[in-house]
Amino acid sequence: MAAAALIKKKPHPTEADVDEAMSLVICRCGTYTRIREAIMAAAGMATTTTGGR
Amino acid sequence: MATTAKGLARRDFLGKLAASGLVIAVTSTGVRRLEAMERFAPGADGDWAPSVFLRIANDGTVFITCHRSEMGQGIRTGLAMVVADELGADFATIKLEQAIGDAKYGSQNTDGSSSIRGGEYQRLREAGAAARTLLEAAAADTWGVSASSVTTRNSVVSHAASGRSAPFAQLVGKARTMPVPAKVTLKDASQFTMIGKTVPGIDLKDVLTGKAIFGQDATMPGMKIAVILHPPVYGAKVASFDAAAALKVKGVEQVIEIPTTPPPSGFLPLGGLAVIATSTWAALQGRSKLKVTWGASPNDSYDSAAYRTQLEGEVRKEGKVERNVGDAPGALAKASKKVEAEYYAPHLAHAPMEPPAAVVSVTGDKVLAYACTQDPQTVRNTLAEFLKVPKENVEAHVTLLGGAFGRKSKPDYVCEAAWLSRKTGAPIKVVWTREDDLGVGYPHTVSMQRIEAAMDASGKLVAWRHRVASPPIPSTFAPGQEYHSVDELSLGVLDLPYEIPNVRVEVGKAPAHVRIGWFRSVSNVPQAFAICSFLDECAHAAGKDPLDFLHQAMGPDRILDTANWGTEKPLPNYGGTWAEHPLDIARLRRVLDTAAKEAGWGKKLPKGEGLGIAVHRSFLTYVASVVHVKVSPKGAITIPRVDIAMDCGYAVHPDRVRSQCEGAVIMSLSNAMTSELSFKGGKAVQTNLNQYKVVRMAQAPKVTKVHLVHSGGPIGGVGEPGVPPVAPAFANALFAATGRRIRTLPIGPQLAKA
Repeated sequence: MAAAALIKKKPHPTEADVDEAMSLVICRCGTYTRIREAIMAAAGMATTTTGGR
Repeated sequence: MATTAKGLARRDFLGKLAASGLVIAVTSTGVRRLEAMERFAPGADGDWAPSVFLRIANDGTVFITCHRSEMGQGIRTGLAMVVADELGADFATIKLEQAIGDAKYGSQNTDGSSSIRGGEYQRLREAGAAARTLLEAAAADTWGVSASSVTTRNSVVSHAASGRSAPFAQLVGKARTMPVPAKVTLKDASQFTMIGKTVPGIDLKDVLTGKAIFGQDATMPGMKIAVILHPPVYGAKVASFDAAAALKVKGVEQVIEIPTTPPPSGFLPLGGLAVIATSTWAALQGRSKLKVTWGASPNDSYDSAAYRTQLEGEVRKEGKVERNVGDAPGALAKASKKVEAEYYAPHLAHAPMEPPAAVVSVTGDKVLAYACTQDPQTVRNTLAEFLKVPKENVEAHVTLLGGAFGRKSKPDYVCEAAWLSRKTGAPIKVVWTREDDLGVGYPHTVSMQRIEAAMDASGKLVAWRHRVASPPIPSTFAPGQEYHSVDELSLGVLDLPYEIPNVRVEVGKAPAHVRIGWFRSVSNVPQAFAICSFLDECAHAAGKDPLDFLHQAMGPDRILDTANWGTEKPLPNYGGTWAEHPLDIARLRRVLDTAAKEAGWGKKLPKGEGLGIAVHRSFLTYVASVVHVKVSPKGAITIPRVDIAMDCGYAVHPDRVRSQCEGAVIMSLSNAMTSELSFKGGKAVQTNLNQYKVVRMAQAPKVTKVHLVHSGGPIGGVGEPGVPPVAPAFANALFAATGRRIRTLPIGPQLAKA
């Protein structure tokens, strides 16, 4: 939800934007690196489908 | 036919519910829960079951049983793919069932990084291969061809020469009558379709769509919810209480006192006041309105700051000797170059995202339990003993686990639900909250260590004395256990793999004041931190590059003679034999060199940046890590990159091995940077995640590179061995970046400047 809100607000987030937006989300299994990559990938896809890139 | 199998399974399950005296409430949520739970029900009769791990229905449907618990590590996928690959089953159509607790499966304890190693991988391969052999024999016999001329793939047996093929459905009837082969031929690695490759998680879709059932989701018709006000100090009893206000909360039905189990309480309930309600919310509201006075406990004065001082006193004097080789005190006394340092690592909390939960129905002497547990056999055995019912009458089911890290192998919460169910006559779901989990769990030990070493002029280690004072896990189960145990010391301290002629290990007294529990990687966490940090200190004292120093300290490639080790009893080896899993310096060196090379060890970095390195063997697996840190002038730490190299012999499911390493990096960094569970007045100080801090995304490494070293050695553990070397590599990197040596964890604001 936090990631979806970020992409809605900022379709081209930087990694720092992602870190900031996800700062309240805790993952005890330690998947942050993959989550960060996934959000960047999702943002890339969103921009592609809307023709924004 | 599929519906028959499904119908049978369902009837079987409903029958069991009826047998335990439950009434089926057909509500919309109830139905959804029941159907979802059916996946955890035991198998239908009438299917062909060539193994406890595998059965094939007459319609050819393959049912694989997972006997280990899924807590996010991917074991349900991992074990299923091993069986399915050897069987030649179509993985997309297999049905995966979760085993209830039963000794027939062998160990189900999902702990000790043991689900693949220790022969499990082999057993599951054999289960799949045996069934394939019988199906192929059935096909060959039908077609009048040799069994060696047929092959199996995607649940179809084929004879290439004649172009004939038959799906499992056509062969099951005959396969079950074929004589069981004396010998089963396993696939050659070149024939693997899934083993050694990446397979998508079998539960992924259910988890993503909210269909997956975790312990906190489990329900039973007619159940009540219980939330418990536990004694905040270990061993305290309720002196008096007033439940009037709690009982006025809408939905609260009863408040029941659970007797306090006198310490050491093992897996039995802590005691306290249970609020029984129709909803979790009502139970929580009720609990907040309880007025209680707790009686005195011998642990009332437990104070982490004072306890640290006590442990420091212990490691500064001679202790009980647990290993003695040569004459370390003598060598230290006459050494020209001596290094000494003390390291402190606090209690840690497992803090799984899903706190413990269990739903149990006790009817007469029959018990039905669902829990997010790492070991349903421990649940079964503990409940049988606690409730004084036959073990056969206890049916212990496993839900998915929302993380565990060792917490959920301790079934105290299941015992609470069982005790309350017997007391109230209703199925009871016990819900632990975050505060319960952090406040009254099974903390990881707190550890004080002192290491002294002597080096010769060339920088070679000639003497090593390591003293440990750390409350032991056995203190949770038996009185009088006040010294770190040999089993715990063998997680780094006793099995020290370096070439040092004079070594002495001593332990100091450390009585426990909380339920000490095992936590991911156990005593490797503090012990690898101390050892790998200290080796870095020695390297700098000797004026050597830390990587060069480690190579020198290891000595030549060889197998260490652990039979003559200077310990009173044979050195433990994670349940493995030394013959199969020796201490192999070549493997230790290979992961060290891999991590160093991949991280660009020795490269020039800007001011305020540094690389740190550490290597450690645990759970029969070799791991090295290089951490790159960047420290701002104000002391803010960022981590551009972590490299971690693992040699677990063979990676059955490489993507999951990688993800375990990635997760281990983050958890180890939490242990190093932010996490501390401390006690004051006997009570936990940190009771939620704003106080018990774990690493967040911004603190996580920007890049984590996992390097799998396929040595072809015997299979070792994966879940835990990634954790130990990362924290010391991180601390060593901070030293390289700032010149500040961190000897107390967590680092917290130690480097911060105004």
